[in-house]
Amino acid sequence: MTLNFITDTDTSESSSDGEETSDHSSFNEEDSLEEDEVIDINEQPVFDSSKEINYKIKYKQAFEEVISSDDVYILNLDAHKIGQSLRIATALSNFTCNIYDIDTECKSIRVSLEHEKKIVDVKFGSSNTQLSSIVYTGSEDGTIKLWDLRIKEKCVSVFKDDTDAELKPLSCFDVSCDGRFLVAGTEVFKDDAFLLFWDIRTTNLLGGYWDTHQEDITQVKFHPTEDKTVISGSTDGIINLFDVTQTTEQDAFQSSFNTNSSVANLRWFKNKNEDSIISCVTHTEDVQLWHVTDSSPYSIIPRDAISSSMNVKPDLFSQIINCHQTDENGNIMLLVGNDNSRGEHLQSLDIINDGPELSPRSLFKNNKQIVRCSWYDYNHGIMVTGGEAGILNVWVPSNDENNSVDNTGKCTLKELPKVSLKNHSSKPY
Amino acid sequence: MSSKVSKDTLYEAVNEVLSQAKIHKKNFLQTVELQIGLKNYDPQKDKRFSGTIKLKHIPRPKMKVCILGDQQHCDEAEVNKVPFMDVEALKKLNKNKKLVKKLAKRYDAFLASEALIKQIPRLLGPGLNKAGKFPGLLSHQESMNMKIDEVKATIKFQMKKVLCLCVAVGHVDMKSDELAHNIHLSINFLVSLLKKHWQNVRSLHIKSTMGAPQRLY
Repeated sequence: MTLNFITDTDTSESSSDGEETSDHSSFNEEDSLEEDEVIDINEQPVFDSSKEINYKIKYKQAFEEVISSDDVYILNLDAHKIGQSLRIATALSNFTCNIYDIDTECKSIRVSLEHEKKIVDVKFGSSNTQLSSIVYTGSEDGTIKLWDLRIKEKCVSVFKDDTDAELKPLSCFDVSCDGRFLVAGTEVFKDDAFLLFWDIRTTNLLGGYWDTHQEDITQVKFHPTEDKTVISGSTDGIINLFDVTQTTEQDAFQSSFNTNSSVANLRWFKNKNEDSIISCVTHTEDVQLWHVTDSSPYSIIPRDAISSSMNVKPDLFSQIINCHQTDENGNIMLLVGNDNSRGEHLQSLDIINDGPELSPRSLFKNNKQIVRCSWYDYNHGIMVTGGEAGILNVWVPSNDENNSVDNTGKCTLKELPKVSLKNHSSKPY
Repeated sequence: MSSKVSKDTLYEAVNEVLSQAKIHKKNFLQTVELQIGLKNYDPQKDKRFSGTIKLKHIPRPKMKVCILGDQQHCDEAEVNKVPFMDVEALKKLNKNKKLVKKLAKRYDAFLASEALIKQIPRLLGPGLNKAGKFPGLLSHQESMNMKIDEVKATIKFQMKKVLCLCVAVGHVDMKSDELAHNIHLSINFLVSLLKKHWQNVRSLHIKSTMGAPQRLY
């Protein structure tokens, strides 16, 4: 496996990743594209040159690696910054999870963790002691595996619900903020969609709820600071909020939020008044922001508002990748791409005054793929992205976005700006 | 994004479906559905294809919507002859699973006043959620009848493990313009959600409940 550092940020179709190799066992899927290689809009240039856009924070690519070229997607990722290095876990569509350490010497240490079916999510441990050495992977095979990276990437524990003859296909999971509990959501299994809870220390199944969703549960998230609060979202369009200290599902079930759509992604945020906020990305590519105390979203950002805020041709639609917190005041940005077939256009948009107003934040130049997952650290401004070409990228803020990274031959992670992002962004360019 | 279905093809198919329904009259209102076959789409890797579309012309006029209202909304519902329930009526159900299930079965959708919507988990438990009928919000700023029409005009689509999808886009008593408009809107919206747009579409058909399918694409 070769490491590919970007040497020239201006040549967009750089072939620097030509030496990619893969030792994954890839399952070759028939891609019957030949019958319609006629591409209409997708070969046109993406940028709308008539629009002059000033991006608030400039970014450059600090790291790029092609994990696999065999039509394997990076579907999910999680990351952790440890001192000067960055540890990244990527869940791939070939049922494996790879771990990378990208440190100042640019070494990547690769570890492969496996499941029998699709991995639906990957997370590092959440308590301080487990931060970077514990990895959880959840899969449609019905198990969540806990791996300890210190002891030869061993699967230490397996969490499953074996109360039925078959295991229930998991679709999402989360770890509580104190690292004691696991929750997973399932697809509809024998007419019910389940939320399942485990005690991480004993691996015992603590129980489950199965009366609050009609369809597949797509997201489940513990509150970032309150262990007792869990939200779940489903393709039935409902977000449910539970107090898991209650013993029965009826008592635990606190409130519902009707998105009138289909829930793709849920995240918690805290605004400057310490109010809990839920962001919801729907499968129809809209964003809704909810206060947990309200009965309607306080902001709805429709797809056309997002599409028109992007520096792309008007007939291209946006694809929302993720929502990220940008500062301690709970400001939120959207990471968005568009539906051009190669998906190179990748940018972030700040949500202004609670939306729907958006303003361009950063452009991620030389992106080469449709991005599917992202991780962002607002303290350092580091963005990690993975996507459908199996490429893993690390992006860092840079005054000079065309600065060639490779001049020093060193990884740029240590070139992170020492100034805070606030000062950084207020500098006139 | 240009549509691959010409106006002529669309109207030809719509008129064929409507005239068939006139010749072979049934004793119920036939629904017209749009059937989409997909290709180059991998449910294992690609994003889920699921959500709602709001159409211009109501596809299911017979849909029954019940108001779970505060005093003002209940009074308004009574005037408008819309079925409604107040807090007291909901309290009587006493979280009884069977009664809540029965309520959920009786109606196709619910709308609730702001004051009530937060209390629904406590008053009814998860019964409406389980039936996929947790109410939408009815505020005092919007007209009740318009909101009900909006609910009736909103259709849900969801692709499961098979590479085809059906959505109810109208009924056979619609004018051909109305039906064509709904179909046009649905096709454009659905195709815009697909990663490769028309390259993901294998086929498009429309068909009434009892009629023969008509190919659009």
